[in-house]
Amino acid sequence: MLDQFTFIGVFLIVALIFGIAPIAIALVLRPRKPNPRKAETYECGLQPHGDAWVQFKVQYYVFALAFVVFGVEAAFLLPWALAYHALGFYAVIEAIIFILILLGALVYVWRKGALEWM
Amino acid sequence: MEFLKDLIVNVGVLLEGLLASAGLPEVWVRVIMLGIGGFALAFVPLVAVIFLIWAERKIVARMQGRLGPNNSGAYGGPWGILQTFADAIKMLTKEDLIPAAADRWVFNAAPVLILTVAVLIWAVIPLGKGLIGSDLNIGILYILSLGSGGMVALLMAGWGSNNKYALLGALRAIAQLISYEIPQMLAVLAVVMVTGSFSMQEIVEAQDVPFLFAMPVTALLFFIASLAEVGRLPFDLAEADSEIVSGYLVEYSGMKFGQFYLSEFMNSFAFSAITATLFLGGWRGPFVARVPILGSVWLLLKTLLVFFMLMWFRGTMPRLRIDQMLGFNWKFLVPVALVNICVMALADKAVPLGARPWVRAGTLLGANVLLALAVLGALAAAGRQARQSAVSS
Repeated sequence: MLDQFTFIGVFLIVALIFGIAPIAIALVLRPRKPNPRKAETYECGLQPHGDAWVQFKVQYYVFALAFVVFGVEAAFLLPWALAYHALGFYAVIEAIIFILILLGALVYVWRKGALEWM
Repeated sequence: MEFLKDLIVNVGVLLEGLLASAGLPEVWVRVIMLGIGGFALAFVPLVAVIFLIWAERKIVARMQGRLGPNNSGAYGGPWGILQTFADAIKMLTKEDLIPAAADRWVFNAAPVLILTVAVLIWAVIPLGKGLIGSDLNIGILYILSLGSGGMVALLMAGWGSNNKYALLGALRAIAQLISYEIPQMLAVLAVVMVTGSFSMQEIVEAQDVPFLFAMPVTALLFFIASLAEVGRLPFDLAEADSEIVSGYLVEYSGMKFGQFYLSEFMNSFAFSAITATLFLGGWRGPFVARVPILGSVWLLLKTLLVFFMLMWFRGTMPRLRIDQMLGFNWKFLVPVALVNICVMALADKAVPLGARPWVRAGTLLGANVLLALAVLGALAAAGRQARQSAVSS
């Protein structure tokens, strides 16, 4: 059991080497001719206008909120799915009622108009 | 011939014996073996992807009536097969530009993180019987959680660039990824329910009948959701080059851009392999019991089949708009996935535990067909209603 995760630990180091190696090789090979024009932010050839770190459309956050509901739901349903064969018919009915409540939440969000992109 | 029968395992045993005879302590032999295994495993997707990039460019070109790469200088090889190497050399020798306004640490860490995550997925993909990086008992959860790591990398790239297009692309990507994670997770849930395990090897072992035939609706849900998770057409609006000039990639140059490009292909390939493992029976196939190494060949063939579907989509589909993309997920995929879980749970309980595999598969297939008919009926009704309201207004 712990041995399985030893490999993940070693593989994490290997993966990090794979992630860093191309940049490290490029660091040696690439030319270096900095100039302030090159370091400008790209904006289709125009002078950059204002900061990019501004307030963003609220719609993105609404979808993130809706996601939280289903993320928590997965945390409940995954153990249930794992123990599915050991559980009786009663547990299946319970899970279905739980999923129906979730569908209710989805219908609520839908009727509220939060799923429309304005 | 006996040696060839299980080639990779035998080479491992041979190496371990060599290291042990060199007089190293046992712990170090173990760690070095794991390291060698890790490197070998990480090279699998890398080498595969280098040729898949070429194959995709060639095949998509043919679909669009072009020739594709066919000449990369004097050393291009037949049909420009070395094109990807030429591209890699070009990227390695390009100047690395960092915008003055960028958040340097976040900007530089993003390409490292995204490639690391793309490699890490391969730890739990079973390449053959007993041939797996680590058969974690939470294998499929490990893959789902790594998806979130990729998400963080995209947000880091978009935020760190301090560029409007980049941030817009990153936010689109996040909205898309978190949305499509739900149907993906629910599809995996159905597989876990029937298998009774998170372990990838056990999921493969459980497929006496490939799950594609037992639960086609789940397979389709997983395929579509994963297509969006890896950001391929028709869901590539996070890096739509024609509207937001490649989104979060816009400020990256040289090898940093190359790492994003590479990780995207590695993710597509990993997703093809996961689909093949979950729904097409993984390494299982004829003659595998006698020659275990054949399992890897079967897996590769199935993976390439799924990957060809991806290329096909790319060659033929237009890009969705963001409202269509999110609407499709929340108003169609999520409800269908939830109902799918209920139907699968009921249908699987209807079969006694000791039943023959094909009886179980047949029952599940029947339930799936009923579900598919109901969904198609609901879609047709919704379409009729939409047309009527369009006429009356």
